[in-house]
Amino acid sequence: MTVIAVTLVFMVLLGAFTLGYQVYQLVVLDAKSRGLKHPKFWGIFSIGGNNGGGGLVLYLLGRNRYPSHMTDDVRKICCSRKKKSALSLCFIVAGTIGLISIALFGNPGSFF
Amino acid sequence: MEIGAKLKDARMRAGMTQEKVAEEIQVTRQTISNWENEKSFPDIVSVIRLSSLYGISLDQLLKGDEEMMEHLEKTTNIVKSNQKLIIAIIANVLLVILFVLFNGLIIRNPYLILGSSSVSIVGTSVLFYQIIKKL
Repeated sequence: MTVIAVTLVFMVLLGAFTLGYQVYQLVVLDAKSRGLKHPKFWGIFSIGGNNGGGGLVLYLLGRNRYPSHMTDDVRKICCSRKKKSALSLCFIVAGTIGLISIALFGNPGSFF
Repeated sequence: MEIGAKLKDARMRAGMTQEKVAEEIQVTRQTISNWENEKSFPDIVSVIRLSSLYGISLDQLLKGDEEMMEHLEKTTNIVKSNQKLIIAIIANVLLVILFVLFNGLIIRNPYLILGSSSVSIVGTSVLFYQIIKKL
């Protein structure tokens, strides 16, 4: 059971790190396409925020005044990164639900 | 001709400086410069004010500029462009309300705890994914 718990913790951490990285890269690409100064700063800002998604929401609200001049190639990269973000979220969801079930039932087998 | 060039052309014909226009529209000179260089787009209220100030029709300013029309559609039709996000927010709020109302019932049964936790985690993830999709 310890092995399963460690594996699930690893899944959650892996999902969290990859999600943060993908969101950072997406924001950097978006900020560059809009001609914003310091795109890397906006990338770091967007993965911060007290409520997890706070920085990202603030960035999305503030960037609307600046039109995007994204090329098709960059758009394809962004689509790919969004799919990877979805996969990272799946890892986090699966790992977290697994950990909760272990905490509640002790042994994943006893759930069934 | 795109809106930036049209605004600059109209301003020159009206014989006004960027500072003067900024004062009339109640924005900064930098904002006027950004609009004319297409680093940003004016909102619909500013477009109407500029149209009155320069004495040209909205038709002349907006027609033919697809990027500007797309920008105006996104900024004015907030509900249409954020439908899935709004649904995800409402669903999460409803889930929170349900959990608060049935809290006494849920905590007695470990299966209900697991079920409600799973639903809330999935709901939050869907909401976060909708936010990421806006990028």
